[in-house]
Amino acid sequence: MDFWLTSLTPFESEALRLSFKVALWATLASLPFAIGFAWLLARHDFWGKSILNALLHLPLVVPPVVVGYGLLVLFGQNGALGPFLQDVFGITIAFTWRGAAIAAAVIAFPLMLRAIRLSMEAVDPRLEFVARSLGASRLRVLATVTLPLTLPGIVAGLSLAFARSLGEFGATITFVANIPGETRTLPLALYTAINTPGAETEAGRIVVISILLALMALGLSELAARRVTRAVHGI
Amino acid sequence: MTHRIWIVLALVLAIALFAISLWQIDPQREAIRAQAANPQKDAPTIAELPDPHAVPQNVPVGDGPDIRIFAASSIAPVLEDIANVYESNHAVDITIITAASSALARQIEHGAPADLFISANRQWGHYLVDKGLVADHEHKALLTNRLALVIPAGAEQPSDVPDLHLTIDELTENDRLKNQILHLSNRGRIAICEPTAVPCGIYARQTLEALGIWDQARILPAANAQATLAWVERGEAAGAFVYASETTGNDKVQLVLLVPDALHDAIIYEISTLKDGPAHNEALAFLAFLDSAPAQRLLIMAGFLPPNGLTEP
Repeated sequence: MDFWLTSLTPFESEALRLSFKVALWATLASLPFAIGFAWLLARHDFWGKSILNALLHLPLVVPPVVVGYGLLVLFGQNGALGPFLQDVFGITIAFTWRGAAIAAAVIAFPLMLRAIRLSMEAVDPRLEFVARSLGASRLRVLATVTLPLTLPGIVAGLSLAFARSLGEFGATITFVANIPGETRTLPLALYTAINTPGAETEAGRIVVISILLALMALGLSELAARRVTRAVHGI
Repeated sequence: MTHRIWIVLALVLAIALFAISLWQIDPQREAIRAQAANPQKDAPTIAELPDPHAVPQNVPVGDGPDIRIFAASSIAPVLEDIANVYESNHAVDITIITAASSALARQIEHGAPADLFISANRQWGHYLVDKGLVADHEHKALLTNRLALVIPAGAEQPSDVPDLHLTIDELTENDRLKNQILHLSNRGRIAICEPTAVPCGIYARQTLEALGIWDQARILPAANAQATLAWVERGEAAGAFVYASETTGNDKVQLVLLVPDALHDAIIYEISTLKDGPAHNEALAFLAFLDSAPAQRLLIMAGFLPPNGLTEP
């Protein structure tokens, strides 16, 4: 990895490191929520379920700029929650990598939720009934029966969300702008290069880096998916 | 059950539409635009001036050839108004495409159909000249502008003395500017245009470098001049380097000071006529109109400065 990083320009390695950090945090932070909502939607019926479902899928269908602007209105320096988080918890979100991670997480969330939910719905409910009838609590059923069987979906959801987070552009640039070393991830670095006349080489290099990164991520997730499927189904 | 959901959704939609219809565009800005678009109403001086290119009033309006002007974002609003005046008595349509000068130069280089290109510095106009895309001798200085440091309306003016209360007898103008920028930097970020390629960002970077605080100032790079202004108007940035023309009639920002000209390259807007423009002849006529008294008046009202006898080197 270090050899690779030394052959990159500071502009590129900075963007690459930042992209990793943002995508990793965005993915890990959304995981508990995705599992929770997937469980709610896959295993429960309640009033307003389709409304909740539509709301959760909204970031997937509205333009990312809308999400970015919404986040700005909410978490900006003059937003509804921004000053509160700043004063009470000392967390600055506006114009920091945390903001970029939030933007990526919101955009990627529906993809993760969908993968986990589909996988969870495919788990035979009778297995859960049997576990319940043998005296296991709901939480124990979830932790020892449902979740292990959902693992392939969780892995798929994680890799989808990670890939989408790496590529996030519209919400990020609207919400936290394009600040070198803070919020300038690979797509934003590419955008900057594209908007600079005569910077074709820089743009080309970032395109190659992005493709290599995507291929690596795809390969890893494929590997993980195979292992998990084998472990779950015992093939 | 599903029926109830549809009723709820329909109600939400109806309420949302109603709310949007009540949500009006900033009336003040609308008024400025309307006034500029119909200068006859409130600014009779413009109407009184003879229009050298006037054609009979009964020309069909709006279905002629389309002049495509690629304009730096700082000049786009006033150009829109000038275009409206021009369209009202010429049988042409004018489309203004706006972005950072650098982004526009790159789009034109890659074949975007443009008739005129207005760059906010010399660099990007010359870039297209060097690429052989500009018609011979159709490249000239159009206007000048100044750089201004602004803060959001209602924000407290930054102090111009250093934090340490040493008794300093005399601070130079540059010292004061430097202190103000550092104070704003402590308050939040200072929005500037992308400092590597976008003209307003290059001017801002030159200023910060001349003051020796390029590494200390916490900047917020934005895509173009209008985006930079938007960050400070919303109060997300503590301050911004924008063009002085952008502060004209703008009550969402307040001026800290005009940056001394000596700290950065002269701000010169250059206009180029492109060789392959689809409406080349109409574009040349509009170019001549830009030099006419009514157009110059609108430009000066919008806060731009005449080119001061600057000629194309």
